[in-house]
Amino acid sequence: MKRGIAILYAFVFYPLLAAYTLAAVLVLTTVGAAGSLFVSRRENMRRFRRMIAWYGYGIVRGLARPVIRVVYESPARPPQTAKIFVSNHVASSDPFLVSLLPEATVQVVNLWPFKLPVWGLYARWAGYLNVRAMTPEAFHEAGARLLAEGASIVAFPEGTRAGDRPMGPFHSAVFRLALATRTPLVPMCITGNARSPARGSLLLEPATVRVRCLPELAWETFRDMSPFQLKTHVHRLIQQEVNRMRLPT
Amino acid sequence: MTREEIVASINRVFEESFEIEPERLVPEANIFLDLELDSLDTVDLVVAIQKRFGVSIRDDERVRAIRTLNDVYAFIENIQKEQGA
Repeated sequence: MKRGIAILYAFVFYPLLAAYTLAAVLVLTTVGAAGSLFVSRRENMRRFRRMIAWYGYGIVRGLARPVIRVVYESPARPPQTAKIFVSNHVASSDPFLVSLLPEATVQVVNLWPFKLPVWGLYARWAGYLNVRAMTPEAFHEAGARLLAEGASIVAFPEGTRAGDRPMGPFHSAVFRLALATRTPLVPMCITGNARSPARGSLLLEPATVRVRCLPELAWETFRDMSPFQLKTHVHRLIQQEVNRMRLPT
Repeated sequence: MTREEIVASINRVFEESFEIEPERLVPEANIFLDLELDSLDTVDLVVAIQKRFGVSIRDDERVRAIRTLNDVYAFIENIQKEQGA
């Protein structure tokens, strides 16, 4: 039944997505090119991140809405400070769910988004961090600069999508960055989208997707941890919450 | 140092530096897959081992081949033999 709905909706979703994306490309390219002439690079990157977030929000709350119900929960956070959001990685739709955050963020991504036509260019314009192509030192330097400018960062430290499998171990780069730059961490938990879409599929199966941010971890609470201890601690927090979120309500 | 002393000392490094539970520290444990260290964590591991054993292994090419705890034990055992020779 779910698969049947997913196949039927694919005939509606993807043409709409193509039209929506084309419009977004026109707007983003125009604003990006014009912005590079009239505003600072930093301001242009900030605007670009905001527009990419709007694009993602349109998909999450608009185009996918007939089949995907998204529940976003977050406690109040201290405003206007740069943070590092750390999330489990379930499916390729996760980067779109980031658009639900109130902050426009810089995403830490693998190589492939940078190889996408047009979107690779936008990722560069938005200052996204291509962690696989950077040395640890270059990643640290770029991340620290963005945080100092007030930009929040989102990372999926598993490095690959888990799908229906258990969460994988975390890489430590963003935790080292948080420790060194005294930046608060916000654990983020995603459930429900393992098959929306499943790995190797384009079908969005009807689902309720939950995105829950945990209370912010102030730097003072983890300053004495090693990077390994910190990543293990955050992994445990996310794993416990994901387990709770998967319980039938 | 005897093999047993090396094993105990290296296990203490994992317990103290990485808070890994002693029951997970079995010789066949893969330090990446089972103990969940990444490449940056191995730099911390090398520093901790250097400090513990008073050896310099940072530029030793053999470090790259290490996968399991048993590899770590054997590597340090060999280093100590070489230094004693």
